Amino acid sequence: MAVDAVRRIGRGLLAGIVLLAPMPAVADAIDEAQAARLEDLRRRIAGEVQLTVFELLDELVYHWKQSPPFAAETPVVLADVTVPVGLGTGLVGLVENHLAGLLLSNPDSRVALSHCPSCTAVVVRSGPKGTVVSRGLDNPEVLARVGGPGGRHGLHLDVAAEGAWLVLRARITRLTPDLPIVWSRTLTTAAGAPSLLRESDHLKSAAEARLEHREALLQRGPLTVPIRFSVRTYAAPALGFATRILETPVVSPPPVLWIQTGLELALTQARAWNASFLFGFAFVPEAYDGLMVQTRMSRLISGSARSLDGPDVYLFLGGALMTLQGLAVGPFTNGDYAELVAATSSPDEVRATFGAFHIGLEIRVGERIGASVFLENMPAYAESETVGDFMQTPFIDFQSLGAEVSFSF
Amino acid sequence: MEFWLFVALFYLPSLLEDAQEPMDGWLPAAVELENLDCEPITVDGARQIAPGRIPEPSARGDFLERRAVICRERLMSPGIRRAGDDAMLSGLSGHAEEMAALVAALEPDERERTWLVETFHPDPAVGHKIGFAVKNALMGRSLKVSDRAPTLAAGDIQVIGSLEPAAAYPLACTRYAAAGSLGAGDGLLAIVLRDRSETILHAGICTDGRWRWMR
Repeated sequence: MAVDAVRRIGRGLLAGIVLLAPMPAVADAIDEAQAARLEDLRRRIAGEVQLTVFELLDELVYHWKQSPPFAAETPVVLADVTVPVGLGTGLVGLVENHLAGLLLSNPDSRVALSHCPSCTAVVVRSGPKGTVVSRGLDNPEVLARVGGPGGRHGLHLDVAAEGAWLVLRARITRLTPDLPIVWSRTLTTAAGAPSLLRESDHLKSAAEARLEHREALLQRGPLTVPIRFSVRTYAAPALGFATRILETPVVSPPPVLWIQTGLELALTQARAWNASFLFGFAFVPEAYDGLMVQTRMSRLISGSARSLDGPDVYLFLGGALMTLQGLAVGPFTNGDYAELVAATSSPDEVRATFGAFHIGLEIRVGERIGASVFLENMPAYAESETVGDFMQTPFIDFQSLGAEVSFSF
Repeated sequence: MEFWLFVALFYLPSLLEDAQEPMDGWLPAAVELENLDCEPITVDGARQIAPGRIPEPSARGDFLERRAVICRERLMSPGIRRAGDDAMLSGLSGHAEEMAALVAALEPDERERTWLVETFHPDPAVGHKIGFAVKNALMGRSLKVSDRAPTLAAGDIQVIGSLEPAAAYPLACTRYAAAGSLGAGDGLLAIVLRDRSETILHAGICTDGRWRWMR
């Protein structure tokens, strides 16, 4: 029995050793995996809260603009910035940079960031009562002796994560021996609230920014009605044709003014792609009148989505079919202008109908007003004696240069 | 049988509706629900926040007692911070306001002093946040607050460090006053975590060399 018991104990110990032997390695692997997962999680959270922190800083500086903490511009040392416990210190650098940018863009906040290396350095002071080790900021008497700033203030910022809320606390301390706190503020926002993304040099209150955002969203109907004023100019004939001027004068086509309207359709919510279909009308007394239809596809190239508070640039491609009549239209008929004028009994008999393809750039502000320039290729006038080329490329030549101003409703 | 059908018809819909309600649902909460901060709000408030999610009351009455709960995802997932610290920091604003209320409730001659705030917490980062929040809360109540920290001589620290908390804080208070670190016009609000497993903060004040536990 005793031998059996010893054997059982021995087997148990052996099994225990066999089972426990790899445990440290497994535990290390789990620890490493957990640490990596935690690090990933911290990085994700820091990325998510960054915009919200910036939002709170915007609000803080906006508040300073509305009610400055000082009567005159005052140098302030950024004493310390702390971020939510559990997040890395990378966010601190982003907060400092954003705040510095905001204060530089908004001098009317009367808070001027000041550089003070001795303020954050550790200073040691020995006296009859003992030796005190502290930061320069926490010991203004020592700071003054080592040539620190006089009459300045220290700004302390703390960002805390409280449940679903991100809280920014700020306080300003006068750097005198008694270190009185002269100003403080606590700002809170829900982390899930959409960021307002205010421009640093055009700060608005949160209420104003939300209203503007809401109005911008409401304006985002897919259909708009543009009214467009355009002028198309046509190139003079090339030199080879001009040499004939001595024999038969060549008259270049006149600029044609158009008023266009129709529909424009935003193909995406971001208004990255737009399509338009317009009718146009041209009328200059004693010269010409005409009709046109035009279709165009535009692509936003200044960003991935329409800007709410800045201009947008679109690249567009399109085609137009135009018909013009009147004496001034003669050069579009590809015939001898003098003969044509002599042969016609009525100006309405001089008529030209042609198609064109255009490419251009448009700059728009607030989906309300836009200006554009474009080049137009007119296949019917590729070899014309009366219409030259504004630009020649190996693949396509452009006979017309146009400009437009648009108003959208 | 008819009775049970009657009961089922009346109660089953609401039972199913409440099954996964974050606050008092009877099914186990999903993992993602554990990371939500939920609080009840009025039904009218919910209709304003999320139009269309809660039906408008019928003209004839809807004969239902509606409740609304607003839930937001917590910023810090479980595990990022020590559980005790997370519990403390998640309610930091409330804790700070409670501390400030203690000072604001003092007699005017004490309340009008310049208040210094010291935090005694094992984690300096958490202690810093608590101190910051309490200072702002005191400022919010229009009290005079200083960023100065009272100091003690090395010998005092050695003696005080060897004592039990019940004796250490009163002695430290006496020494602050004796060394002139805490003047006649100053008051010290000390925020203390007495046990790492606690999630409540204790508070004591030191004025004129006299220590009092306030909480």
